Amino acid sequence: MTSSSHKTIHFLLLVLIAFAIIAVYLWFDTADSAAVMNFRLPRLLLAFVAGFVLAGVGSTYQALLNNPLAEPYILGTSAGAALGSTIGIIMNLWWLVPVFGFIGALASMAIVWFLARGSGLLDKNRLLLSGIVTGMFFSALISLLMYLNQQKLGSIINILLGNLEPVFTASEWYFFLGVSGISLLLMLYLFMQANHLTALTSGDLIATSLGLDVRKIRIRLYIVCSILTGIVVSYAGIIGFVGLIVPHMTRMLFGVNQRRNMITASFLGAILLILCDFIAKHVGKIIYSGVAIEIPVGVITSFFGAPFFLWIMSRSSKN
Amino acid sequence: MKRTLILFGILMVILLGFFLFSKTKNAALGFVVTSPEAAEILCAIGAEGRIVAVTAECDYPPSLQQLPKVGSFSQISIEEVLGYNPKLVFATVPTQQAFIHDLAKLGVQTETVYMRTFDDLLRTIDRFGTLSDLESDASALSARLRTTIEQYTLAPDYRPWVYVEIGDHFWTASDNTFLGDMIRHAGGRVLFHDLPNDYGKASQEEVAARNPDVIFVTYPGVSTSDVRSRRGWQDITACKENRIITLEDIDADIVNRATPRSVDALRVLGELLHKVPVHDVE
Repeated sequence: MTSSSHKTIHFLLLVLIAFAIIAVYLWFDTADSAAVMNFRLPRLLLAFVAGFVLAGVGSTYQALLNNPLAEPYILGTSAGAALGSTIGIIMNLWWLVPVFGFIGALASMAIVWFLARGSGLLDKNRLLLSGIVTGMFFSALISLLMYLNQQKLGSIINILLGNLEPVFTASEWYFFLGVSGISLLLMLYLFMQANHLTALTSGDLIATSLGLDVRKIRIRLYIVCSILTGIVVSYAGIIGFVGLIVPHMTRMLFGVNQRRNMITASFLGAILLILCDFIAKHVGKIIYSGVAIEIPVGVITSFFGAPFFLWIMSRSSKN
Repeated sequence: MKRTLILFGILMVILLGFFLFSKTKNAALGFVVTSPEAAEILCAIGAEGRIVAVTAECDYPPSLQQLPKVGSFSQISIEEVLGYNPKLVFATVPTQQAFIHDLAKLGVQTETVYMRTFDDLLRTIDRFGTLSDLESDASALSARLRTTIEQYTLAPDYRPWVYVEIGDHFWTASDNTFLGDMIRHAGGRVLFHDLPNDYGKASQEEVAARNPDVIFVTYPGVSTSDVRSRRGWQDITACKENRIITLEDIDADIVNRATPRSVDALRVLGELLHKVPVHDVE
């Protein structure tokens, strides 16, 4: 058998597994189609969009900043979004929490951009440091607000640990559908830019000599990635691991081509997050014999993701 | 050399002044109360005069607000507390457990409250009576409350399932909490009576599957229409029949604190659950 037909079979197998996971997620342990439509479908969509965006943006940032430790949260957007959501929670404006989160993300994006501007090429280290420092500052503000509002700790922890159970009114649901559509379009834009990123990874000078406007590309990608991260954190909170590790997983499995890495990472991130949310949702029933207690999904992503990653790493080093 | 000696002399004088004018310790007499519930109970048995300092949340009776503060419910200054050399410190556990632990290390006497039932409340009242030498007043109050509770306790044939939401994202209370006991006494049943802990996080899918007859939201910022407009909640009996209780119907403090005023919450809750006036007692 040729290597390409091997790959096709692998690919088809993965697609089948993905559909199986989605089907189990939707119809496991329920016969109530209204519950599936009303509660599981929105949750599935949020998990899909969050995993898709986080892994894709993680892959983009790793190339954009040329840094294997880069992830969607590294440039401070998530801290800004979490701060916005926290303020919304403290003001008891529950239905505006995602809006506050998105405004926070845009605010931190503007601050980082302003700090990193400087002169010349929009140096990637300058961008990285501005992002990290801004993120730290916003995190300090979140800690302060948590300290001063301890009766709201539970709600704020939902933002910080990630929570994929959205509470929508009918109109908020349609709004979220729209937001999801916009996110996927922005992801498509990132995908189109992936080839430029491959050039950026070989250094700013080489990329410039290839005729690329490095500064423009970096700013554009940074803004698009920030908006995407802001949307995800506003709705789902800060879900760790997916954005950092999934792009490395796919790089080990499918090679370093940025275009391919971004698309495979996105889909793998989405499926992994759906799987983790499924575990988070049902594992409590096993532990507590029948009582529906959920575990924060951020705990599950790292708890199961870390061994899975180690397994893939050991496999790829053998090859 | 001379300058050093002069400086040394001045320093000694300043130090001596500190010792002469520093406050001597008060005799340990007063209570420092960091728990709003304990403060209400102490005042109800007539021990308000013994309280020397409170936290910012101790706001009932309103006269407590005149007293000096040792911080807020979640941030208490140990140094301030020690400054009053209290005979006893009243605190709420488990929230203030770390603070209690620190005080115990410093040799301060503490008294903690965590009430899960109306019986716990009556026992606490009696114990506080003993602690503040007001036994007869306390037992009179607890006897009076016992009668009131009995009169407000309903045992109807129809006992609606009540889903309590104490925080966003479906934080709810089990049977084994004061809220749970209040719902039982008011003639209802707690929807998530079987939580593994006192409080826990449910999911909206589970809420819909268990289909409560009444929804009771005990935190601010959520209105009846907010609950009814949640997607997929329209089929829940409580939403269909518009049987949603929020803090617009009951005062937050009498719902969320276990105090003598809790019997008022019990009466209102009973009326809301069964749509009949629960007769008043003399």
